[in-house]
Amino acid sequence: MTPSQSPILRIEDAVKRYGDAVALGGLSLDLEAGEWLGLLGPNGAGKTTAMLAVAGLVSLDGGRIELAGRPSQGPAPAEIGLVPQEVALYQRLTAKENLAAFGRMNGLSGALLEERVCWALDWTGLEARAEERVGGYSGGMKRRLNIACGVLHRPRVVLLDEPTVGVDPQARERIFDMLDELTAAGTALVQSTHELGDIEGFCDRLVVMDHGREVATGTLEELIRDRVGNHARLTLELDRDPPDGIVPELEMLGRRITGSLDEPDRELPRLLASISSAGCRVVRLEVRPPGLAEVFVALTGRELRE
Amino acid sequence: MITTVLRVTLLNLRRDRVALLLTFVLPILFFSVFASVFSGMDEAAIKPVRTVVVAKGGEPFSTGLVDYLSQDPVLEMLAIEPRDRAAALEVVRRGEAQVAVIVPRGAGLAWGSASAQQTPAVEMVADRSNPLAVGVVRGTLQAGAVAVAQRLLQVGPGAALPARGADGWDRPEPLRVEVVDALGAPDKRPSVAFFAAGLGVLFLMFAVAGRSSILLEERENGILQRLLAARVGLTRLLAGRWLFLVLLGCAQVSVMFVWAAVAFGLDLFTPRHLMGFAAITLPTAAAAAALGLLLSAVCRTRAQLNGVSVVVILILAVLGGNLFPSFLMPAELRDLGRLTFNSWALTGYQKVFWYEQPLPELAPEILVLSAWAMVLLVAARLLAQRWEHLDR
Repeated sequence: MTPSQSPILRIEDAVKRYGDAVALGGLSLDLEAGEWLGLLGPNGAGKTTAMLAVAGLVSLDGGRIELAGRPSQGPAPAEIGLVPQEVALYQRLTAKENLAAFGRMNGLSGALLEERVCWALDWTGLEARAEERVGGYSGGMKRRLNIACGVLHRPRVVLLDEPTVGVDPQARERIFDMLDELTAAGTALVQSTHELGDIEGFCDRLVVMDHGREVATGTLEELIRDRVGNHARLTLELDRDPPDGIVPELEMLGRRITGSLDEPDRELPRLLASISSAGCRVVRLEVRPPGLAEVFVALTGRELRE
Repeated sequence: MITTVLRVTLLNLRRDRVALLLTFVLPILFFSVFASVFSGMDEAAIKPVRTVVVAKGGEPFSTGLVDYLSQDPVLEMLAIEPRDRAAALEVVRRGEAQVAVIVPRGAGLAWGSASAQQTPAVEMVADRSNPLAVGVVRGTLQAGAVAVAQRLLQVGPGAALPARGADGWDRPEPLRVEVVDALGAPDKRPSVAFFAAGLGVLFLMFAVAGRSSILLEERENGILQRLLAARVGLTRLLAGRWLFLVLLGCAQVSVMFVWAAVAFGLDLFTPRHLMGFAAITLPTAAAAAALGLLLSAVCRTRAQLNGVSVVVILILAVLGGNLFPSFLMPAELRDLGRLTFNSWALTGYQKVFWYEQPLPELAPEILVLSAWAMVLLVAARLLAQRWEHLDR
C-alpha cells in the first residue's frame, strides 16, 4: 500500500498493560479521511487509553500507530487534535483568549491565528459572547468551545473523548452539527463514548471494544444484522385480561404482552387477529426494532465492569 | 443522626493525613520550636557570642581579662590579624563577629582607687542587631573584671571587695565600658528591614505555592492533557510557570519593601540598597518559585497542596528565621536553619540593609539561593515526569 492509499490513522495490534491489568490487548483499527468512527465499550474497555496512545500521551507496550502512513511515536504531531473528556478550558479567560492561547500552543500565530479564532467563534456560535469569561458559560457553550480548542489548528484526525457529557439534547444536536461540518471538510473523527444515543445515527462506523480489544466493527446496520438479527421488541397493552394461551410464544403479565418478533411484518397481523378474535382490544402497541443497546449488550454482556 | 454525622466526619479526618498533620503534629512542632527559643533565652540559648578581643597593653589586668574572656564558654573567640582595633571593627561590620572588645592600655590599673573614674574605658564595638549578645558580653566583662581584680588583689572568690565609697565601688558597674555601634547611627538601619524581609519572604513562599496550584488545576481539568498533546512539552510548561512565579515573587517582595520605605522609612532608594535588594530578591524568588513547583509536583490534588504547603512553609519560616530573629534560637536550630534557602535570603537582606555591604559581599547568599533554585527545579521536573506520560 502506498502512502497515498494509507488510511489517515492505523492502529496495529496495540498493547498496553498497567501491571497485571490489560488496557489494550491487541487493538487494531483503520480510519479513513472524513470518516466518523465511534469507539464504544463499557467502562474500562480501553477506549480512552487507545485515544491517549494515538495522542502520544500513553506509550504502548506493543504494536504500532501510523498517521498518514508514517509511524507515530512520542507527542502527537500536528495532524492530531485532542478534545479531552473534561472541559479543558481556562475558566477565567474569555472564549477568544482561550482560543488564542490553545492556537498558539498548537503553533498558530499572526494573521492565521486571528483567522482561525474568528472561524472557531463563528463555528461554535459564540461570537456574541467571545469577550465573556468562560466560567459564566452554560455547559453546552463550554463543550462547544472545548471542541473548538482541539480543532483550531486544522488537524486531520480529531480525538473526542465523550464530547457531549452533561449537555442537554439541543446542545448535543448543535455539537453533532459542528462535527458533521468537520467530517464534510475531510477531517476524520474518533469519538469515544458509552452514551449509545451519541453514536446512533451519527457515526459512519462503529468499533465496539471490550477488554482492550475490538470485539466488533461495522456500520450500525451491519452490527445489528450480524450480532442481534432483525427481530423486533413488541409491547402490547390490552383493554382487559386476555384468555390464557392466546399468544403462547409471548410473555403475558396481566393485560400486558411482551416478546420478540423475528419477522414483525408477517407475525404482527396474525397476532393482532388472534387478540381480536379473543374479544380483546389493543390500547397500546409498540414495535421497537433492535438498536445499538441490544448490540452493545450482546457483545459485552450484562455484567458490571467496575 | 448526630452520631452518624460525627462518625462520618471522624472517618473523613482519620483518612486525611494532611489534616491530621495540621491538627496534631504541626502545633506540637511549633510549640517545641517556640518553647526551645523562648524558654531557653538564657546563657545557653544564645551562646556562643562571636567575639574578638584586642588588648593594647600587656598589664596584668588586661592579660587576666583577656584570659577570662577566652575561657568563658559563653563567648566564641575569633582570631584576627592584625590584632588591632581597625581589624576588629571590620570583622564586626562584616557581621562575622557580634562584638569586638578593645582593652586599652592602662585599663583597670587604677582599680579600687579613688581615681578609678579616670581609668581608660574598655571599648565594646557592637553589632546592635543582636541586643542579647551585647548584654551577654557586657555582663561577662564585668564578671571577668571582678574575678581578675579578686585575683590581683589576692582576695578569695566570694570574698568582699573593698567597701564602697573609698575606692569607687559606688559606680553601677565595676569596670568602665563604652559601647560603640559598629555600623553608625542606628536610625539609618531601621529594624523594619528585618520585618520587611522576614514577612516578605514568608508571604512570597505562600504566594508562589498558591499560584503553582495551577499545574494541579490543569491536570485535574484536562488542560495538561491538551497542552501535552499540543507538544508544548513538560519542560517548557514548567519553565513558563517558573518564570511567571519568579516575576510574581519579585513583584510581591518589591511591593513589600517599597511600602516599608514609604510608610516606615526603610532606606531603600539608594543605588547600593537597590542593587543589593535586586541581587537578593531575584534568586530568592527563583528558589521560592522552584519550591512552589516542587510542592505541586509532590501533591496529587489542590487540596493536598494547600495542606502540605502550609506545613512545609511554616516549618521553613520557623527554622529560617522569618518569624523571629535567628539569634534567639538555640545553636542547633540555628545551624539547622542554615539548611533552608529562606535563611540565606534573610541573611542577604540583612547584609544589604543592616551591614551596608557592597554587592560582591552578597556572593555567598546569591550562590546558595541560586543553587537551591536549581536543585528544587530539577527535583520538580523529575517528580513531574509522571504527568508527561499519563500511564506513569
